[in-house]
Amino acid sequence: MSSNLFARQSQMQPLAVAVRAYVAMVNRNNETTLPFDPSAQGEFNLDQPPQPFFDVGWVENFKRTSATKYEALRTGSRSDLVAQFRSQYDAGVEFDFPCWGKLQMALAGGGQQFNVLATPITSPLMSSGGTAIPAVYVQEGGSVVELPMTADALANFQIGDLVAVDWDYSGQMGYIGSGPAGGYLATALDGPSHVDLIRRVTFNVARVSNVATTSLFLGQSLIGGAQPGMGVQKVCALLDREGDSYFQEWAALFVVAGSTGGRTCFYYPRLQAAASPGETQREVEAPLFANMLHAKLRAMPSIDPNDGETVLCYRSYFPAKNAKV
Amino acid sequence: MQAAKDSFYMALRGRLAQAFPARAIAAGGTTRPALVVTENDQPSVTARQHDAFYLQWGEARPLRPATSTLMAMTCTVSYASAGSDQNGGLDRGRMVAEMQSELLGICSPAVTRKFDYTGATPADLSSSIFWTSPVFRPAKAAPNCEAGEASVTVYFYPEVNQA
Repeated sequence: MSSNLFARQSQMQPLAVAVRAYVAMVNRNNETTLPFDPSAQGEFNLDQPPQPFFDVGWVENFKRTSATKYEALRTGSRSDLVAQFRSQYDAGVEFDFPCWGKLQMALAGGGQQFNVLATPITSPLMSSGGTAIPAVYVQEGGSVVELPMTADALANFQIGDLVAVDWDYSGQMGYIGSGPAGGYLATALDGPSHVDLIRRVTFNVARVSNVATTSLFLGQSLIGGAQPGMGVQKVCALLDREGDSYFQEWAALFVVAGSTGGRTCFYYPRLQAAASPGETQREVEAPLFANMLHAKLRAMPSIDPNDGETVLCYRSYFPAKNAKV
Repeated sequence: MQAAKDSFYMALRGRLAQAFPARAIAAGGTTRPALVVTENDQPSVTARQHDAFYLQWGEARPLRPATSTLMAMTCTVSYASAGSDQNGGLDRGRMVAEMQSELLGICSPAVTRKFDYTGATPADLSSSIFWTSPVFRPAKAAPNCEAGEASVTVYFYPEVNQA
């Protein structure tokens, strides 16, 4: 620690200019995720988040909220205060994404996040995408950035295309989508007429960076992986809907990286949307404005295995190296 | 930053040549679109000629440094006219108004791809620059001339490693 008393004091102020956000998938079948461990992962390079987190960029207007009730237990004719207790645990977080992308829209939108699949001109017009151009299929030997295909299949794609990569739907129920769940089916649908359903909602989406003679190469890793037999279809747009019954669920980590002081991390093991899709408009300088994705999220409970407590959020603070503690 | 400047100039120059081919100047024995970037050209060209546009770059600043790398750069476009000989210069105001109309025309659409022009072949930098509509104001003119200036704010992402 510094021997300079004033420096020790000044380094206690975590001044910052922005908040960085990261998300991690939740296993929806048991509502768990790999935790953020402040001891092992806390002081990471902001551009290289620890596994399993994905960087979703800087956020603005970050605000944590809590509606947990603090209540008093009283007794006697004077109604003396005996104890306090908490009830109706409820907390959330609200912020705006200046950057739009698949994960940002999913987190902010909260419902099913659609990939609008490319259609032939013969397709009927449909609001979340019509009858798609049939999928082509991944061959053996692929990876998260390489999709081996036949020459005929490769002819469907160009550099810069967005593609969705996932299995054909075959009548299953429950959560669907490789990697993070993209949707949930309480009842099975007819397989043959919904063959593209999983690719419509999957998070296994990337942009084509190269079309080689035997493979399609991707500019981003597929977060749900690539396996032989998965179908590949071109994506035209990303879409969400007001009125959706599905709830996305993500773990999220927010980092306030101090320019002069320490680092503060807020880790939410489980977050679901608490409001429908919306945007915040902020003037950059007239007439230019930023159209930001607004996210309002509710923290869902999880168990801290260290003591069995049910918690909604963890806040950790990493003091600056020379700060007084 | 240079790529943004060059891309803006090349976009406007191409549009000027296509839409208003008569708006040209003679320089170095050749005729070219009458659009000059003062910081780039030879003194013989940057010496102000009438009926030509002169681009001068001003300050560049980040707009939201905490969460975005977006930058804004000011470009001032100057122009002047002494009118035509056949009208004895009495049409100098109309000539300036015509140049303002041309400038509005070539500034629209207010977006173009960003290229790196430092190599033999322009390299697409995979993003765009965009700009505001010109804001016109009168400028100090030589005797028997009419002059004007227009300000355009050009927005771009520098796309350099700012980590």
